[in-house]
Amino acid sequence: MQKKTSYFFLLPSLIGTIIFYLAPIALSVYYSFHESIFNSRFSGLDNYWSLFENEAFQLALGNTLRFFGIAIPLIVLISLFLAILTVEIRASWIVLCVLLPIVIPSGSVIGFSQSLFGEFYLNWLNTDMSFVSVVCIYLWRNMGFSFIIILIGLLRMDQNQIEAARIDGANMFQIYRYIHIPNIRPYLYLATLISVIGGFRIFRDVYAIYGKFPQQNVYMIQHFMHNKFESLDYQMLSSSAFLVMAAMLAIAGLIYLAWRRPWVKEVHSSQEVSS
Amino acid sequence: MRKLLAYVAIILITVVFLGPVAYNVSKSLMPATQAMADDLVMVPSKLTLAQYEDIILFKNDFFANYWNSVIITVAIIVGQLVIALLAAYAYAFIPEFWRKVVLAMYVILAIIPYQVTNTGNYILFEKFTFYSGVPIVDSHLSLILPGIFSAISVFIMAYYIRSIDFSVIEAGQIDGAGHWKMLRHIIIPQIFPAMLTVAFLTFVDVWNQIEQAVIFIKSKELMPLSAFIDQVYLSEKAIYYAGSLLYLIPGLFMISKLYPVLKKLTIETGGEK
Repeated sequence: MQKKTSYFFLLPSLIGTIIFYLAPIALSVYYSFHESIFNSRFSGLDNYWSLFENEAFQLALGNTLRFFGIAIPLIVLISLFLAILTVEIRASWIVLCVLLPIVIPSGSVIGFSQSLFGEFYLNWLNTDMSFVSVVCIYLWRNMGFSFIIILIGLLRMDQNQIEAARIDGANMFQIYRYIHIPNIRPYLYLATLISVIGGFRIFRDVYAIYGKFPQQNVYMIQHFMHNKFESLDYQMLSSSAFLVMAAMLAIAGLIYLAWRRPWVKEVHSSQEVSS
Repeated sequence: MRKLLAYVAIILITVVFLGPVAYNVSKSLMPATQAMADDLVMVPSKLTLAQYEDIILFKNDFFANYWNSVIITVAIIVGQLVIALLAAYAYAFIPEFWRKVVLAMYVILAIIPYQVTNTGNYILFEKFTFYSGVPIVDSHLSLILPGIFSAISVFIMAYYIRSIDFSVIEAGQIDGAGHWKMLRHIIIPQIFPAMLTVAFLTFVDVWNQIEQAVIFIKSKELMPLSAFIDQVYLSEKAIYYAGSLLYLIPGLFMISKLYPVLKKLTIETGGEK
């Protein structure tokens, strides 16, 4: 009896989720296949074709892909390196340093980035090098999340296995390459996913520095969508929203599938036995 | 040799990750003329609290925006904790199949970027206002309402509740404890770490929100500071550094609370080497 009434406690969350998340998503999918917000004629893929022909969208898409292609591998590799370093020298100070930027609002560091990347020193912000400065800001701000996930993975490793390898004469590089990395694969996947999600939030930092119209090398899909809001172009907006969502789900799906591969499971169960 | 390398690494990491914040601190203690220069000089020519005085005495708009941020963040954190707690409580009782469905839905929603849901939200809010006359866009409600139902919080709490001791829940049921008693005395004490995690992550996200604010809020006086501070930098650079430091202090406070946990994590769980 009590069991049944407890189901009702899920309702507030479900109703809110439907109104503020599922309905908006359904609505933009609907608009993306129709002629306009006032005219409900089905238009097939027309909105998508005109989206792909739009030059601003092409620029935004190219920049976004390039940004993710460069920044995501970089952040995962550097976090892995920093996590290994932290485990090796047992310095919790490093953890504090790397985590700190997570809590710093984007707007609070624009003074520093304007000075370092601005005209006075590097003069990157208004040249093609703006891309490099945005990648640097992204790495600085988002390293904490992927770093802490990988660090937890490393700390949960089975110490006996490492000890055995050491006795067998494996050097430090070999131990990390053949024992640590395969064992922490699930954590690396999670770190990748978190970094992709963080990649979309780079809009905050770019917006804090440039406002609505950034240098053209860092004009990304989030800016394109933001500008379509200003011009109330719902067709472009909802079709790009749908594309972004589909891309995110595809990435998450790939990561999930990689995670589920049998060898990962094996590693998982052996870890549970040992702990 | 190894020790030396370790020290070099620690110093390098400190400089890279703390540098921008240290820069902010030192700039905020400079006289306005020196603070407004775009160089990386970090030694104040004269230590002064003039910027802070200036903000406190003359810049009421700054605090208006700051206060907006406080209201929005507190409202979202409280709302989220209540909603997610109730959802997690129900989650403890529902059948296995529905658990999987619910959890999958929340995790999928959690990875969808704001830009996607903002689009539909905006259209829905406008339609609602059209029919009911209650304005939502350009009020704090447009940020608070979607924020309260964040999927990631429900996911974290529901995931965590699976690991708690179910025998206590069953004992409570047999003793005839009502829902309120169960929540207050059994669920909340056990799920408290997850609630803290949710509060921390929500704070980090909402205190720094820009995506939603620049779309939903039109009036300058309703903006949270996160979306307005770039204007402060452009138009009132003389107080920007002190202002931005005031803005990041709650974050520093949170991370200082986290430090003992991190210390324990790296030193103890690793075992000896």
